[in-house]
Amino acid sequence: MSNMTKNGNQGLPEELERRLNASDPQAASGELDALVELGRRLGKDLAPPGPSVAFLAASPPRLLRRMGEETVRPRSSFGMAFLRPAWTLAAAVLAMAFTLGSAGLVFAAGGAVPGDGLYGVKRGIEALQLAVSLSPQGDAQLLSSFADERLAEVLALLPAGRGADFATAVGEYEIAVADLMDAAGAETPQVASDHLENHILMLEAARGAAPESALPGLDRALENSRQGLEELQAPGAGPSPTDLAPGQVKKLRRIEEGTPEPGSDDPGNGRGRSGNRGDRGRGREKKHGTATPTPTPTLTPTPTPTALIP
Amino acid sequence: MSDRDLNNPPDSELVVRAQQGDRAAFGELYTRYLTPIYRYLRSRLSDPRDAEDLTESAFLKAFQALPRYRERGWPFSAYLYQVARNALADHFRRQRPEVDLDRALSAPAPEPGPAEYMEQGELMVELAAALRSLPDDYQEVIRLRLLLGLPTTTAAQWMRRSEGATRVLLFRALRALRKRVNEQYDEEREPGPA
Repeated sequence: MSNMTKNGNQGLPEELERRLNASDPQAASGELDALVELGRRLGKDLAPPGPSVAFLAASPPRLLRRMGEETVRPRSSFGMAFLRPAWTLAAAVLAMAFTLGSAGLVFAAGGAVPGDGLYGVKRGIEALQLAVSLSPQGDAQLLSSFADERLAEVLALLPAGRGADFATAVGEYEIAVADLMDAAGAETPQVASDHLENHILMLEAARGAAPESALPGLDRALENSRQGLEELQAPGAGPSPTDLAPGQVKKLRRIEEGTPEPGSDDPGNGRGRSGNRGDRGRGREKKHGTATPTPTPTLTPTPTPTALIP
Repeated sequence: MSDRDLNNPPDSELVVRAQQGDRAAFGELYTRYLTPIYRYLRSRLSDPRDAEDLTESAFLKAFQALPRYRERGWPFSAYLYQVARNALADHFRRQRPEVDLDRALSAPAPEPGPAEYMEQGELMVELAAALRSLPDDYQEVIRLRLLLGLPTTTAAQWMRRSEGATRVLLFRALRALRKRVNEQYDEEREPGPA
């Protein structure tokens, strides 16, 4: 046993650190050397492998899509906002939901797609989210995420062999993109462009693996996204000032042109799009089980990435 | 990671940009920390698909929590690590306890092969079992410092300890592990009941 051990282990951790970091292992003798050897063996035998190439390739677009279903919303200043009628309405609806024991139903509706029984619930939740939004910017952010959600529904229905539902999803997506375009003035066109660029990438990727019967629908969605992006990126393009709410400009344009809304025989019937009363909004990814709360985030000056990666 | 990355925007700047809605900034953070976070989760899970799912979930949860993110003395990577640990806890909670204990921390199963390789595989399994029997903080410091090969500075930040305390913890953890391995060895050498 070394002198350091006799002195109450003082300095042993530092010596262990030095020896573990040494590139040239020294001759093993005594406890410290045994620990160094054990440490090296752990690093050699039990080191976890890195992510696979397939995961590295597939993960970024998948995460991007999942992020697209979420919206980073700045913290709102609540204050008097609780007194707004919209909050009163929201509180009443939530109270009713809990009273009726339908909270589980609300959560279950998050992954619904057109044709599912809970899809109406999902869209209703989205409409409620839009109703309680506190600002035009908030509306615009919601509409961006709703467009992402509509795209996710299109992609989810792609391999399902549900032709009619897939066509409905494509129509809903077109409407959502139109709403996104209309809202671009409030949210800045760049954010809308980013969303549409992501959509185009995902649709192009999906096209490669899509069944032939789905290609016309996918191409329609793709064309819609590209046109929207071109409009947003055109020089001098930018939404003109309007008193209409997001989404209403496009709707008005359709009515003026006499073009029926996708999925609806009566563009001006006031029922909303595709006959779905909760025609706006999105469903968020639902948490299952009892989730551990996300820790309070903290931040310090960043360690260099090279120091982190072994 | 290359020198070019050292000159790239620091995490704090990327976080601020991501909080303002710049998804590309969050994508950069994702690229920086995908591998260490995945490897940490993989060190706790035997199924790579579980590690992949939890890696994405952890980043998604971090993204969702960005609006609440504030600088409070620890690097963003330490925050990601905490989110990953919570995702792991949720994952285990959803499963039956007996499955959790068996699967957590298990080393990748060795491929069948020559006798020596099999013996090596058995030793790995025994070492992994001994590691699993240690207190949580001992396991964790061994994982971060030795299995993942993180520098002491980073391991200390992730565990929210001082570097000195982390070094002492590692020393004690290795000593406890060595003792446990020796006990296992002695048990195997003991003759069974007549």
